[in-house]
Amino acid sequence: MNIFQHAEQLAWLIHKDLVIERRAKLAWTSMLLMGVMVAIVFSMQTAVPRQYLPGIAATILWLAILSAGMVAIDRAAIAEQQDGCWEALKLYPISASTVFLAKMTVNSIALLVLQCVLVPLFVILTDLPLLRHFGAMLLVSTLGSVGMAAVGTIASALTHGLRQRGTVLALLVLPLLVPLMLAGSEATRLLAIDDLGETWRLWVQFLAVFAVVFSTLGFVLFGCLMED
Amino acid sequence: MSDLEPVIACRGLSKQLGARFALRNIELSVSGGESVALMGDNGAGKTTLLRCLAALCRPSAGVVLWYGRPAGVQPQDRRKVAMLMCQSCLYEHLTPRENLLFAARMTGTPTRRVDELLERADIEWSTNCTVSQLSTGMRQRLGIARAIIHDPPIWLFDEPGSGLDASGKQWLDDLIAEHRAAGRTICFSTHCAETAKRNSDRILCLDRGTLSCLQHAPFAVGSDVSVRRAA
Repeated sequence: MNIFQHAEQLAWLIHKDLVIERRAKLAWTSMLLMGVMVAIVFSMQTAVPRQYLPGIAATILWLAILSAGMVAIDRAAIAEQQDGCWEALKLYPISASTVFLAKMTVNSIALLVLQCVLVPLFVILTDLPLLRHFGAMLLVSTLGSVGMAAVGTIASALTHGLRQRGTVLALLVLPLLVPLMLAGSEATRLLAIDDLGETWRLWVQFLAVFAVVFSTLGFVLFGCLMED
Repeated sequence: MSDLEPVIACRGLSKQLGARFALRNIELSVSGGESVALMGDNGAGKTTLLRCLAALCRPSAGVVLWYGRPAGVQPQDRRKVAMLMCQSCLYEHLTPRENLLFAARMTGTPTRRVDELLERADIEWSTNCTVSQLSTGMRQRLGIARAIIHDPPIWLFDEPGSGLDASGKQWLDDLIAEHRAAGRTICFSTHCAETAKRNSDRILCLDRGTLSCLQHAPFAVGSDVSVRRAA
């Protein structure tokens, strides 16, 4: 099987998931509602002193992304596992790495869509200049989304078929995502105070390494995770 | 592959699910072009055996072979097998055509085969509705079409007649007869002795994870497979 056949399978796997999501609105609607709700609840806390606002807002933004993003990843996995579709996927002559890449891409797209809504909303609600450095914010969001999607996709496959799936998924994912949350919120805080110096670059490098490490792990190990 | 080498074989196959053995030391060989029916009570191990034969689950002991080689090691080996499971394995929010097109793209099958199977399964009229709007019987036909989209030489069907009406069962019988004649190796489970006799060369009975009886065609008229047990 050549690279073009793998690419075609990958494109169809992504296309299938996006079409299902567009028609059924299984995951993204709940994810967006959850994210917006967290943002609005935060905006009601008007008593935050101005000097602490960038740090607190950045942390809440990434907490909103994490909690809402996990809803999307969990629901997307549940949808795939209904009616034996996950088993059928295992029967096709496709490599597990292709399945991982497709699932991770769809989850990354979901998280990027979430951030396209949440970041402007936070700008409106907190008046922080998060979009002044649009390219830098896009870079932080993309790296954070890819890292979170990679961990979420691995954890979804690990918890497949478990009775207490949602709880186990959260227990697995949250500790793994603590470093990503720290890096994401620190990079966002520095961005909000116009400090794109050495420290900001270090946090961005950390996000990039995190995304590469977990994407590679998933790519290599997904075959074992898909086994019964 | 030599002519005598079985297409599907399992040697000392056991599968433990929790504390219980779903399969115990199964020895089975199915030759090319042969059709084998699996019968047995609920929980006898029919589905687990078919899943093991399809390399969908790893045996606790023993080995499953396709054409003399360990089953499903390489992704490309999976092109050899069609597996119909109890569940429909269809995406509810896609149309029947989209489901088949997806399966075709995953298996590298040309698009004309999709239209051919939609027509063959008599569901070409349903192009504008999603699978969730189809009846159980229509889903079963579509599930069978999805399973065989890449025209593989080995068919493993778990209760293929389930949910089908009389015309659906006739359609299934015709499909199996046509592909038996074309040399496909078929292994299916059923609770219906008549279906087993009509569509198979050999009937195997499973009893609590062990193969307990065997009948070869031609089957005696009126013989009750389910109550015959080997010593």
